[in-house]
Amino acid sequence: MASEVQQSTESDDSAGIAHGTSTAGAIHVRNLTKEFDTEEGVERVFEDVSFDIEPGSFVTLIGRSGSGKSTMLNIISGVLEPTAGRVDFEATQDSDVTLGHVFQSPRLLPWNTCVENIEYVHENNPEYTRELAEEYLDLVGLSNHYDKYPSQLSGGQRQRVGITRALSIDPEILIMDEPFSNLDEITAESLREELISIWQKLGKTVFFVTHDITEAIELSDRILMLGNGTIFDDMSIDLERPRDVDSEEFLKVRQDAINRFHSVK
Amino acid sequence: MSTSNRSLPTPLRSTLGDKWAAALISGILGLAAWWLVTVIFPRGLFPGPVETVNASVELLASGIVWTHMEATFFRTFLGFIGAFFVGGALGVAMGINNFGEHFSTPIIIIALSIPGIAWAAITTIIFGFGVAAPVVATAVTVFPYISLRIWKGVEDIDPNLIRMSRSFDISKARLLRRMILPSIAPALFTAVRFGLAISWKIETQAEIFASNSGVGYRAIEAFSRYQYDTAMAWAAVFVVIVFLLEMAVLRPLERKVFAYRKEADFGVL
Repeated sequence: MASEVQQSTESDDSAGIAHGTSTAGAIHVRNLTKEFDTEEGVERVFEDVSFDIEPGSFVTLIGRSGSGKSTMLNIISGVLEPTAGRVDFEATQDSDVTLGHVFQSPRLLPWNTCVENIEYVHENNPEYTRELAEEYLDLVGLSNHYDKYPSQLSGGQRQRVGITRALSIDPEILIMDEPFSNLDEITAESLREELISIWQKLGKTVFFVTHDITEAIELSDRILMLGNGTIFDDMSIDLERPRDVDSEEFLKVRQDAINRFHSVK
Repeated sequence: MSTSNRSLPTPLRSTLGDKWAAALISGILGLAAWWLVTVIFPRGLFPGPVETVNASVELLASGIVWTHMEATFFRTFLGFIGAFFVGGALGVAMGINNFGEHFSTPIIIIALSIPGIAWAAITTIIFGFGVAAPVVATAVTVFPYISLRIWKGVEDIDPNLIRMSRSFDISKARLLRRMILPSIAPALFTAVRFGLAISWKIETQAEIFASNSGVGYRAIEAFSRYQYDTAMAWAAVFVVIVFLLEMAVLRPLERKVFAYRKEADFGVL
């Protein structure tokens, strides 16, 4: 069984300029199959799934609970091995690809301040400085909270620190696992807007997982719909940004997406 | 925000001033109860607070107190260290896997049910008079308490924080120092505090059988000579020293380690 997660490296001529032209941050998923051995026999989560993610694009995977979203995410992040198939990343220069993870709950160390939580993930970065952590915290509006502990922050602020931590390692790809689903809608909405503006500024590939169709349309260039053991739809969202969730166009796209999503049981 | 605690004390959470008042009142009530006992049983046998203080002063002045205090502290500490390592290892084993839990549970249940005084007798039979008997008796009596605390501490480690650390390629050494240790720190503190408290009780009991020195030995010796005030003084001096140790070492350390907590919910036995 050929199952491996590999990285290919490619030199980037136009280093530092126009992220659209580089292929760093691309993800290639090829013929991915995942089976689990259970007491009732082999359970197949999905079979022969292939897709490509363009560098710098914002792609969302949606699916019902139990559809295998988390399994797919875990294979792409390298936590799980696929039964068959492979995942390739394209990295900048000669280094391994760097993935920045944002989780459903912020997963901060409660005994460390915001700055220390960021410092924690820079174990092998000799260039890490406190200024770097502060710069990233400024990016998400936490300038007055450098030395606060997570217990002194609101839920939204904590998730901001979680996002900042992932961004601070300068990953080619940001992997986000339902990062706003534990927040109240008002906070979630403002975080979505901030995420988009940061994404437009930094030009990273984002692989986002959610079960919220509206959220997916608001954020993504592309939506992959997972169900019945396969990606049954691959929908491009061509709405202009910033997107107004109440506009007629948005609602039309949303209705279309819902119809397509419910076409498969 | 910083003034809200002071100006609006909630009914259940007292301000700093009330804390000291409460501690003072409880101390005074304790002394009053002690005094009352000496009055209700007026045979003049049971020494009250005043007699005990006088006897303590005499004891301290004689200088003999320090050698015995040192012996008891040394053995308490050795016994506690033994209990801490054996108990800690079993506790970690119980916390991290099923085999460890099923392996350790019967040992701990049996060990918990054996009285310290029985261990004191057993170890005296095995080791005879000397350092080994009270130290071993202390270690084997105390380790199950340590195990139970550490077990719960290890179980309470948030697996999501471990997963997060793996996602960011954190090394095992850094994971241990930055994530695991702070996570089990509350359990470690409780284990140290209870462990020392029980250790000293077992140690002094064991000295009755197995030793010819130490606070327990001298207290029981004074008792058998009808010097009840001296017997009480031995205990009282030790209690004061343990109290000072708690206030001067454990609490400040705890305050520093748990500074990140929102409420000052530490320092509670």
